[in-house]
Amino acid sequence: MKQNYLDQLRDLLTTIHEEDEDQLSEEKLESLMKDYQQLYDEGLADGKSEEEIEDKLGNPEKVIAALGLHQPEKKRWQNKIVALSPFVSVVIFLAIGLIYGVWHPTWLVFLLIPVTAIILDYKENGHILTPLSPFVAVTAFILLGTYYDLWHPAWLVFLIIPILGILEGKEGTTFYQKVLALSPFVITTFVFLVYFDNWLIGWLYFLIIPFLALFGEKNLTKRFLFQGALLVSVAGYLYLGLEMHRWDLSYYPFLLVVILWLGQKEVLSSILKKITQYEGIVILVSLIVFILIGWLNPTGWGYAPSGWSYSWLVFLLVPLFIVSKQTKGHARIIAATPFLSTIAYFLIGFSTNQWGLGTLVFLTIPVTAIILEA
Amino acid sequence: MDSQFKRGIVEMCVIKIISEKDMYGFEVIEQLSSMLEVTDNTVYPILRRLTEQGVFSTYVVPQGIAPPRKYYQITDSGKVKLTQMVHDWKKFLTNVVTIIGG
Repeated sequence: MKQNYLDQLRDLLTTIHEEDEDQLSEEKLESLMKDYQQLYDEGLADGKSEEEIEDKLGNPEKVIAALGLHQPEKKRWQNKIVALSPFVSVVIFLAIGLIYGVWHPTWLVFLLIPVTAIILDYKENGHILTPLSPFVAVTAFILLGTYYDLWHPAWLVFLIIPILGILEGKEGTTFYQKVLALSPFVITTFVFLVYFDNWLIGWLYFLIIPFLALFGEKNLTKRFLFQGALLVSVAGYLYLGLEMHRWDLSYYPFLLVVILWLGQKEVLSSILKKITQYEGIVILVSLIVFILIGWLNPTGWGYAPSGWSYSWLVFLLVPLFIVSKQTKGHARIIAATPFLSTIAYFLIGFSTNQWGLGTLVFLTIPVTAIILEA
Repeated sequence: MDSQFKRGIVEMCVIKIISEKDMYGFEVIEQLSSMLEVTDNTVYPILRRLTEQGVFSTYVVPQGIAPPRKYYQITDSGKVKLTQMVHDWKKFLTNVVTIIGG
């Protein structure tokens, strides 16, 4: 994708500039970036796809070589340590395995290979925790699961990856934007730790996310209306459920929010427009399938869970369809993997009850991106 | 074909096509790659180097709501260089044909 390409090129040029200003001054760097941005835009204006343009311009490494610039070699001792790390890992793995008979989770020592490279590549103005977080998360998850059988809630440790990414944030991100971006992960952690056995109450905390998002609404009347409607709906839900013990009716107060939302002119007209477009058809079909599966199997039979617990997965076809329409080539595959992984995770979990092992499918997300983009 | 030799030929072709009409960067890459077997990522660096040497000048043309285009135009010194290069190339070709016969 364009920004990805330009970012990679800028990273390479910046590395050369920082190591050898004589070879590449800041002025020349900015001039090169401006020219490549220009070329990319010209290609787009000519109707070329991003893949075609990047084929024409060449990948950033080839661009550097074609410009006659030389990437600096890392200091020799750093290279040696990184090169040695696989052998050190093998020695440690074999030593612990042979002496103590502990092969799992000793295999985690192989994570020293990427971790060593990341630590030695660390630049003083960089954020070292963010790139290390996936490895810290995998290690913590495997150790907690293996020795304490805490696969749940240990999986929550993977949320440190997006949390650290958000905290590092792009320049210019406001405090409010960071809080909003963090809220789904913080709330997920809280709900799964405190309310895992009480979903009737626990799911309500997720409504904090739209409530917070509404603070970004500039129209004050609209903001207070929707926030008020959310609070009234929650109150109605709790009253019907806890006081009247009518959990079957408790979702009806939320119709207030739905009606308010549909009542907005721009929402209704965009929905009516989409009904005739493919996205609308996919949404409708997903809704019908969701209701059918849940209705046909509302309480589950034998060991099979209730249909409602997995029928919602059909809604993931909507973002998959949108991704397939709006992206091409590698970008399409990378964008689709989170949704495909989620579907695979729940299907593995429900069919084999291997929820712990099933989490490994989420590793396809970064692995796919690395294979296709790195 | 030796890369240094090929680079010289590609340079001459870049100057030639721009001498016929002003072109924007992506247009040069597209046209050249459709006519010659050339590694696409080498065209822009050649264009940039020739601009720095004064063979081309550049100007920007707004494109309405689309991003503006940067056009390359041959300079007087560029025309002189092109004439010399074409002369050298034709002489070289004639000599090669003489040596190999045909």
